[in-house]
Amino acid sequence: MTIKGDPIAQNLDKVAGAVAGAIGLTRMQRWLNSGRRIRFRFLPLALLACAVGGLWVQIELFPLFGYFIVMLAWTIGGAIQAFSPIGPSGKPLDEREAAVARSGHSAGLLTAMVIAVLGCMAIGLGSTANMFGLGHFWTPTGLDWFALAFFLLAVEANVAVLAASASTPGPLEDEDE
Amino acid sequence: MSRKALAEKVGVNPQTIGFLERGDYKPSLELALNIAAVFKLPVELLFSFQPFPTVAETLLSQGDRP
Repeated sequence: MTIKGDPIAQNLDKVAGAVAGAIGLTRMQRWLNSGRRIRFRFLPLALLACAVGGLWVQIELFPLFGYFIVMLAWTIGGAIQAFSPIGPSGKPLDEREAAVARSGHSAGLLTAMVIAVLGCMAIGLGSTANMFGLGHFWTPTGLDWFALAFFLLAVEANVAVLAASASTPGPLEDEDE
Repeated sequence: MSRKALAEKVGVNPQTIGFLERGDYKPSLELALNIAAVFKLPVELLFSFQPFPTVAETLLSQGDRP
């Protein structure tokens, strides 16, 4: 309600109303509550590439910098989940949405698990070879372990968004009916 | 009945009803029975493995009858 009498308060009220209606939280909240979701394609792929690149930087170039790149890929991946088909809709998920969320997270967890198993085997082989003097292979130390943990989290988050987006049908032409 | 009204009655998102109409989503038995109950129709009149004939096809087939 607009405050009557005070011109400054009246104008500030108008500005607040205009901002909230156009770009502010009110509109975003309304959009989130509507249950509509964005089907992401390229952003999760870019974030996965970013995580792989970050891990390479961590191993080969600048350890702390690589760690932050990997963590950024995970953070943004987690943030876009809110707008993806597996995001929270503010109300209980119906059977279709729950199935999409389950299948998305299953795909993400399975991918992360396969990478973890293969990575452990590669690290194990590398350290065994180092032990027998057969070469000098990279093995994780200190901050590398954190980077690897965030890498697996980034893989789970982004693969889950990709899989859920792929299993969600395209938008309806007459959405508001 | 609007998509939103039906969605509220059966407890799903209106988008899910839209995907059902478009054939992009196969409902659970519970949801199919709930929708049938809303329209007071047998479930096989609403959902089928075979595509339903169009209104034109139905009228044409009725016209062929003696």
